[in-house]
Amino acid sequence: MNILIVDDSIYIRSMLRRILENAGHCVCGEAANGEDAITKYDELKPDLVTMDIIMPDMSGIKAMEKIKEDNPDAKIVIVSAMEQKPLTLEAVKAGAIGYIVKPFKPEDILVSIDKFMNANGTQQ
Amino acid sequence: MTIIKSLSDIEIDALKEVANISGSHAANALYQLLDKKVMIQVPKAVSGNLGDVMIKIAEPHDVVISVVFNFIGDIRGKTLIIYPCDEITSLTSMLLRENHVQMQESFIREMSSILSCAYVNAISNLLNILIIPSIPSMTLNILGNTFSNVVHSYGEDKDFVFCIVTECKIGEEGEPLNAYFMFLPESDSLKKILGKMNLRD
Repeated sequence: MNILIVDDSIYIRSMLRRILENAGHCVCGEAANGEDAITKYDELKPDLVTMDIIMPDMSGIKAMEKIKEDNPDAKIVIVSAMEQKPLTLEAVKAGAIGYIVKPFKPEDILVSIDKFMNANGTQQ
Repeated sequence: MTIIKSLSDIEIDALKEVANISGSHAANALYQLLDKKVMIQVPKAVSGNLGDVMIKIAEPHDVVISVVFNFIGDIRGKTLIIYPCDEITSLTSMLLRENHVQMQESFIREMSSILSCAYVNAISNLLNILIIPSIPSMTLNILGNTFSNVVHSYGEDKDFVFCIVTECKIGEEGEPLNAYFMFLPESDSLKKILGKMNLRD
């Protein structure tokens, strides 16, 4: 599966890349903010996006809304340290297929991604 | 007079309990991230002038790395996390595979973000309010300057601040890293928090 990682932290991007690649996924790109995420999505058309919420310039939820406007089938999983009910509801309303809370263990990421993709009927 | 100067013992005790619960959530999150023992001390509620607050942390000339988050939503204020410079550098050296400056900075920001989010998430869930932290701002400076900069943008009474300090000890006994987590709600927000706890109208 081709995955785009969106997070302003190089530490988290590097950790996610390692986890996903070790599990046999292909990380086709990385973005460090919302604007960059929209550009990279259009360019790479990944099967899945992991999206942080709190990022400079444009939040992950705003970026997700913009990606979904042009790509209603885009599969986006939020990966954030924020775990407040109104925010998780807002993320789901904006079209997130799942929500993973930081900090995470490698198995949390892989199991959650499998679960979210299967629930959305996506062949991996 | 701001609410800070009129806090009763019961109100201060209640605020410390909120900090205790939130600090425990933050410590658990940090443990998951680092896979190292994280212990928190009993939170201290400190109100007074800059010097009174600072003396609880370290010497004013100590070099520290600080990470500040402004938070908005139903309440406003700041969280400030302070790490003694030498100790945090040792921790990053021990933990990171790629130990270059950019990765160290990113790691400290992310660790602070996870701590701060876990802390405010717990307050949010406890009091049923929404709290949204900003992008973190990280600096390397002496403690005195760090405090001056933070307090300079603090509410209406810059000479008299209120904060709850939670000390975290990361790592095994002997030589743990000490980190100081400070929650600085603005005066109006403090009133709102106490209202949510049925301690003020």
